[in-house]
Amino acid sequence: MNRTIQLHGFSKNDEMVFTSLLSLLSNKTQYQWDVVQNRAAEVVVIDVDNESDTEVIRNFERDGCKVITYGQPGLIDSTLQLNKPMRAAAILRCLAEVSTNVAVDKPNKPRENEVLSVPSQQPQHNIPVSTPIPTGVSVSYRLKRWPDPSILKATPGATRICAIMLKQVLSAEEIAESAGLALSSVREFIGNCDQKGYLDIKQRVSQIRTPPAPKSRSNPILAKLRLKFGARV
Amino acid sequence: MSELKLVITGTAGVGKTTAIHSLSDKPPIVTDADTTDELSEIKDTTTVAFDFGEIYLDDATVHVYGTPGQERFRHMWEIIAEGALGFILLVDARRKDPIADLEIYLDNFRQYIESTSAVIGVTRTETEGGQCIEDLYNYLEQKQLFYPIMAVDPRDKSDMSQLMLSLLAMLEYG
Repeated sequence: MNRTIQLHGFSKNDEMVFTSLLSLLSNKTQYQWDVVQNRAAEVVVIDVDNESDTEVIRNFERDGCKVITYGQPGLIDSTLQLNKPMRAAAILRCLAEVSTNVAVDKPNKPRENEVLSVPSQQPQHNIPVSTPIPTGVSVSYRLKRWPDPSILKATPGATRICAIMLKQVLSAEEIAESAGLALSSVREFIGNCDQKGYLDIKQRVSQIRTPPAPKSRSNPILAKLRLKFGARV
Repeated sequence: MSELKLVITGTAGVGKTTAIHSLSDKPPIVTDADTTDELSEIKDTTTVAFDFGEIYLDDATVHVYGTPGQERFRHMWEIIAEGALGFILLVDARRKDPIADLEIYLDNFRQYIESTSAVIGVTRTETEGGQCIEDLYNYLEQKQLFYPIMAVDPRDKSDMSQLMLSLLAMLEYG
């Protein structure tokens, strides 16, 4: 069952980061969360650094909305709070808490505006090379630090993803395309890295274009060496 | 038979010979001699020409060369680096200035690394390894260089395999 969440007082960048993280985490949350642009959502996340009017929070609560506050650490006095900078683990914790309060049989309130974007986290297969990247603003990632072995071992092909993400700021779709891996694997890896703070997350305007061709300079010797040293893919 | 080579470099005593032991399919050939300078305080012998190991594949052998660590054998470095597939740079976290150590090897092997790739393994990280790795990443970022950095124990085959897999990924996808 889908649940609705609204972001209030968010900067465009934070909104994009939150929406992206929510998408990446959708296989780890109890419900599928849709980000909506109206006040009829079941949960609202309020950036209290930009919205200091406590009456606004009370209004949301009066409307039956569960409120999660988002702001600088130490400035928020709330049980449901997200500290800046935004971390996937904190989002998961807050959503788990509100999920226990949002009744399972409560119907979703009617949406007045469109859903922003939280793509389903269904397993996906390798994307064909010719698949166009949609236009619009996309979230892109760069790896700041080579992850620890536990993260590398969690996702087949993780080392390959790291090599691609270390130098370039790319969207999950572009990374999947370059690595020749399933988008779901890339999203899983990005989610794990984000929890450890290994990522630079940037908002980027993408154009209609053919995605980059797989970048591999693979040759049979390198492939054999990889197998020799224990690579799974 | 194709022949390929990888190069392991870094300061004297960082663990290059041990790393080759961990990667090689046969006991490596070592060219150690007694230490004669300040290095004698930390180890009895040092590599004077190069260490040499082999990794066997079905139809090919990959040679692994370790450069002599002491700078007085610098003239050997280019000879060893020529034609290498990739570079493993080892940095000792306990030395006085690991960044300066890394800089020496990045500068010396720059032309070779730019056309191939490199990974950086930080050894002896038991005490201040985390900070050392952070400092090295910051240094690389200032230089707009992007290489994997990871803590490794050269005696540990699993650590060395992970380092090798990272180098291979950088060669193929970086």
